Amino acid sequence: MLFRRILYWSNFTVIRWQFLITLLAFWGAWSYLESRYNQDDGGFWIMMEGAIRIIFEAVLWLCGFSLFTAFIAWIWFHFRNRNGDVQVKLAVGEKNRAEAGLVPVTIEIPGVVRPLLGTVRARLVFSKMRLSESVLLDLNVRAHGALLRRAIKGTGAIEMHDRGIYDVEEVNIFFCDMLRLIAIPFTIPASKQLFTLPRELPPKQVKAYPNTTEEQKHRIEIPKRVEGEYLSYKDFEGGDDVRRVVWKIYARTGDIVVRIPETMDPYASHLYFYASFYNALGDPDNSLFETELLNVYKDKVRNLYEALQKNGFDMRLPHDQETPKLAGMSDKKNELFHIAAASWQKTKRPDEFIQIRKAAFVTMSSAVPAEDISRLLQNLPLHIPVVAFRLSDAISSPLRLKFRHLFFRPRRTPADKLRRPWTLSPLRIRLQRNERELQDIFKKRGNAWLISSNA
Amino acid sequence: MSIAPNTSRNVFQLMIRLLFEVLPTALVIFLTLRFVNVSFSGFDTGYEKQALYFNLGMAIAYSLYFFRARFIITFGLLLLTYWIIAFIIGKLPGEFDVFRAMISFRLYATLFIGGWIAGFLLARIRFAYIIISVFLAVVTLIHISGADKIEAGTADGLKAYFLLNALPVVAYILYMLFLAPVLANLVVMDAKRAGKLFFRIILFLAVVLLVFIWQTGKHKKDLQARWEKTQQETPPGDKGQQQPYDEKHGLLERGRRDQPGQKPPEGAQGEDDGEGGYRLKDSMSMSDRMSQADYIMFCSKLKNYFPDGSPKPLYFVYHYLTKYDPARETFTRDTAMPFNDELHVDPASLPMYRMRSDSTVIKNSLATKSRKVIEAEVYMSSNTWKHALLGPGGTFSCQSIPVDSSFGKIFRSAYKIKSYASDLNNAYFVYNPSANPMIEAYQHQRFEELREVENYADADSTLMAYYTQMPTGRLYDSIHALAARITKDAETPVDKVIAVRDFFLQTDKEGNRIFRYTLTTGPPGDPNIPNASMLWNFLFRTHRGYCTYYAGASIFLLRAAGIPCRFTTGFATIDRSDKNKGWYWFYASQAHAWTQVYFPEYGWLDFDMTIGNEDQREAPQPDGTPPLPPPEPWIVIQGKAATEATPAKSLDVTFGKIIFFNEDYQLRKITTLEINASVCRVLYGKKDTTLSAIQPGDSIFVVSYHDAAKQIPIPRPGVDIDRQVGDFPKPLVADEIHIKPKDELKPEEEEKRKKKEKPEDALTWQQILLRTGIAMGSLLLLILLIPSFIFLWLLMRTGVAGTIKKKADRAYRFALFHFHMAGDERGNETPLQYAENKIDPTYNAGFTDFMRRYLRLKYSSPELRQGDAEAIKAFSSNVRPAVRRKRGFFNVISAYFNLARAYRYMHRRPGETDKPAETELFDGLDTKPE
Repeated sequence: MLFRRILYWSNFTVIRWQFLITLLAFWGAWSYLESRYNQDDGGFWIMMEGAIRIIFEAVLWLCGFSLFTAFIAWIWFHFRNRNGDVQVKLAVGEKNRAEAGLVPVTIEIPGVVRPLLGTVRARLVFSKMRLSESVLLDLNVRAHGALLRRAIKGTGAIEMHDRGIYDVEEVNIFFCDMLRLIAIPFTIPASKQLFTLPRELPPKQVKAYPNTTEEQKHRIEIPKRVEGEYLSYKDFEGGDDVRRVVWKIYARTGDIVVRIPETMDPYASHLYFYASFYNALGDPDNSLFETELLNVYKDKVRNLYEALQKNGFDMRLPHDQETPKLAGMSDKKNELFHIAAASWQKTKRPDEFIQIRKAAFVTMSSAVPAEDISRLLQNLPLHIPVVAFRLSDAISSPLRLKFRHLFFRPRRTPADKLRRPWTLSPLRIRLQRNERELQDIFKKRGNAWLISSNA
Repeated sequence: MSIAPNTSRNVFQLMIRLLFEVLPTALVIFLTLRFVNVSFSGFDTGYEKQALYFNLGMAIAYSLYFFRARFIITFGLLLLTYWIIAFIIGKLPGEFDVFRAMISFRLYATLFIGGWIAGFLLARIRFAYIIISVFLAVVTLIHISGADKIEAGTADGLKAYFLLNALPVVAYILYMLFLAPVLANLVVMDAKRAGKLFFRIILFLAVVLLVFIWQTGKHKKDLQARWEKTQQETPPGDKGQQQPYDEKHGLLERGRRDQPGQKPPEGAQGEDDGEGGYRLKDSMSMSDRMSQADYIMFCSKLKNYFPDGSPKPLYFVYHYLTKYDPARETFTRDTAMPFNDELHVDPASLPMYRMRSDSTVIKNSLATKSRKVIEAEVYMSSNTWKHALLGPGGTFSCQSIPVDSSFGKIFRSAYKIKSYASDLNNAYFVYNPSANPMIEAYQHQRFEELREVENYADADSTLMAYYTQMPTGRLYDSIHALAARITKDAETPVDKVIAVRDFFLQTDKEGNRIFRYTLTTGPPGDPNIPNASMLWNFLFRTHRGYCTYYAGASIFLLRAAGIPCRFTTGFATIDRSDKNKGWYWFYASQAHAWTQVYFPEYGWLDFDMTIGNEDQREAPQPDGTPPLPPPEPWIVIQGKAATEATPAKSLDVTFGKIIFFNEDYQLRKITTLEINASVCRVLYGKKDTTLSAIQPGDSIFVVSYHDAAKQIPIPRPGVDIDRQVGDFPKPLVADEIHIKPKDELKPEEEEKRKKKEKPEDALTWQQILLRTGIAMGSLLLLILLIPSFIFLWLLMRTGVAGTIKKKADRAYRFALFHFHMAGDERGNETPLQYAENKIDPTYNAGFTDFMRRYLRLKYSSPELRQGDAEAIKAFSSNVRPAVRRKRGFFNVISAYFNLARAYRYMHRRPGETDKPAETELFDGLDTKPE
């Protein structure tokens, strides 16, 4: 956090690295020339000194002019914004949908005058002082037919690696002179939420059938068992065969109930896909590893969800947690958003969350303890597929390298820095141990798979 | 949607960056290499080709590293490839060919690798462009600053010179500063953005150009003054001693300050620009007469002898004139001649004892047989242009040496040269015919050896094409026919050369020579001959001419016979002295032109076809006493005196450069050494002085001679030079100390200059820094005063408000700002809460009462009530005293320099407006009539 804080405040230093390095390089060049040639034949140094003087003065004038225009542009915007009513528009990806990674973000700010030949840049400040990459606002926005622009905007790639919601708290604007020696900052408060979706993976074919009948829509191959009010009992009603009354229950509770026969319903409509974010092995709040594992798991869940969708059934994705509501998002269900916004939870075990009668497909991570899964599987009908994702290999080993990567570096992502520590992480060892147990359980059960997250 | 790798888009990004970033860099590299080539003849292999290799390496590397190639692996592969190719070349047959091929390969491969590294830095290392561009600027600056390279001495000429030479690289630095952030990695360029960027670049460069034109114009007089100063530092030639000499019709002309290898400007012939001294012309034509003079030009100790110890003189070459203008019958220099084997060094610009060598001269001599390295010392008289480099053909090294003071009146400078000379070359061919049996035998031996060259089948085609080219026309057809007739019986190239010589030596029936030497050939003038020309006249009619005729005619005859040859200018060497063997004296009348013929493996050999001139064989005056050769120095220190000389005659010298056994070294760190000056000679310029003349900070040269009595450390190969310097004897015994003369102008000249120069043209560095400091300080002060200006503005507006309502409004704004700047900042409170809770308890300024009146007037009842006007006026005048009472005068003043606080006032978050909130409005309403 301290590092982030330093980074954040370093934004306001006005003087840029380019200025300091240029100054240093010029000083070095001058020192070298002075020490080497000032001792030589006077004629040489006399002319050289003359040339340096011309260059120095010309560069000084240019720099002065350059800084002046940046300052004027800053002052102008300052006065335009003195009432604080400048509204920044942000847009992410296409139609505000973007997958995690390098995300194109468009920033539009009205009432800005650029420094002459200089640039205006903007950076988003997310919660906890996380800074985005800077975006060059190099395009003009004009009303139709208007000559003067009403705003400037620009699109730049911003690293949004984590799948989920990003709270934008500020937009920092920088007025850069043409030589990029200084960047005068201006902060516009903002309150906007952006989100990124899990990443799309290569499509897969997964077969599953719905297990609930909300509408008699699809005829299914294996009729499903339909039960009564209390699982296999119901209250006695007129017309019921008294011979079916369960007297043991009557003796214990005083309720007269009858045993009902199981019926088989050949119709089903909705495919319930249960994806559990239960994680009992780690500390979900405070670990970079956990965040990255969650990212990978979300990608997998998304991939599975979309693969199941291809079976043509209506899908239901029950949630094991409350996800934040996003301002401006319609109530119309957006399952991908829910997957993106979910986080690891420790409160609702899979056997508590998954409704056995409805479930058509169950998935979870290998962070669910083996005994919890075992408990779930005891009651889960055999025909319902269960998939668990192996999280121990979600973060690649640093030794894993493709041949072409010997010659060309792959693009670095924030997860890369976790690769080496992950190999020694105790969490990884705990996960591996749990995965071995899961493997045994799944082997015994059948119709259950432990799948690598790195596949 | 996230940004996924996309090959076509990435290629477009690369193309944009190649266009905007790599191409301008390549252009500047090209210009820089051009400067470097002009200054260092060692590089002279064609800067276009060098730039091509460098830029190719840069473009390939940039493209690879743009696509994230790994540097270690790719660079390792590159070095491996380099090593394999070098290994293969090393194994090829042919010793000299391999040497040549290896030299070429190493040069181009080094350039390619240099380009590769530059490409890597540009593509990968942030801010590397700053280092690259400043480095290029430094290199350019070094190569354009030499006064000898600046031809124009006028203010406008100097302005143009600097604009043309310095502007590109400085514009490049600024351009890269401008461009690089725009092309930062994550900025995705499309066609529209690229178009806009191009337009912006044009605009930017226009601004840079304008500023530079303005600045150069402003400083042009300063530049001119500096240039003139450099000219005054050069002692003019001894003009008083010059004899009348008709330059128009002579082989010599006054020297000018042109660049080595550059053609003199048109119409400049004969101009005396104050350089003094004569040099051979860079273009020679066949004229109707030739003028000669008898003053001494230079003398030389040539260490070239026959096996029996007798001197073996060599012609001293000045230039090769390889281009021919048939219309003017003039031979001129061509710096683009293939296999250029001239050494481009200006001896006058070499610091004392400094050596410049160029191995490409050896390579381009194309000679492997009968060659050896010979040395010569050349002492230039003040009659000779001091920038001229004269030496036997194949001179590849030049070192400046001092002239003994007792000969200072005759010789003003001297240098030592090394030549890769042919054993088959000497001055005895036609000019000094036979009479000496040893020389005759030598000549026959020479011819016999050259007969081994049967033809030019294996000669380089470029060389053959260039050195056998002839103009077309009837004259040259006649020469072809003549050459065919002369050489019809000659089989080998040397026999053809001898046949041409014999053609000039032929006699008539009476035994008289047909071709005669004369300095007055007379005009061609036969009106009956339509193609009458000097050359035609000489070959076919008068047969009378001087060296230019013989050299020119023999060149065309030889070329017509398919023999590559070239026109050479220099000085004929005449051995007149028995007393001082190996010493030769050269007079202006020995200025000469002759022919050099190329023989494969033997290289270029002198053949002088000129018929002997009896008048010229005798020296115009007897040879003088040769100057004393300077002692051999083992070390020359270039540095600054760190202390004054002590009574014990020792002083400390601080230095970073030395010449150690004739090799230049740049030390990594500045070193201080104690010098024992008890036995040394001290010179100020060329005048002797005493040790006490040395003041701390003076630039001095310390020379220590090679002396058996001294314990001299010998250079140790592979040992760091700084370490070797550390092992030098302490104190170091000096033999000579040269104090660099300070720039001193005569009082009347200084007066003149003061009148001439405008005050602004004479800015010193201190003044520039002072002015810059003042400008920056003013800017800073201006920024610091912004809150005060706002205060004054608000105060003034309050004071001049016309109506009470306006006054209330303005007083309200003024009070908010003033209280804020005094340190009581308003948080999220409403103005009324602010007044009630914060201001009045602190200042007791009546702000709450004022606010209630103000809010009522503004939002409820616009009519003034009794007491409103007085209360508002009282409040507006009470704000400042109230704050001053509480905070103190100086605290209030200093608070107005708090920019951050002022910024916070201006920078309100949404909702933090100066307008009262709705709820406050009602709180502030006072509905009760007073």
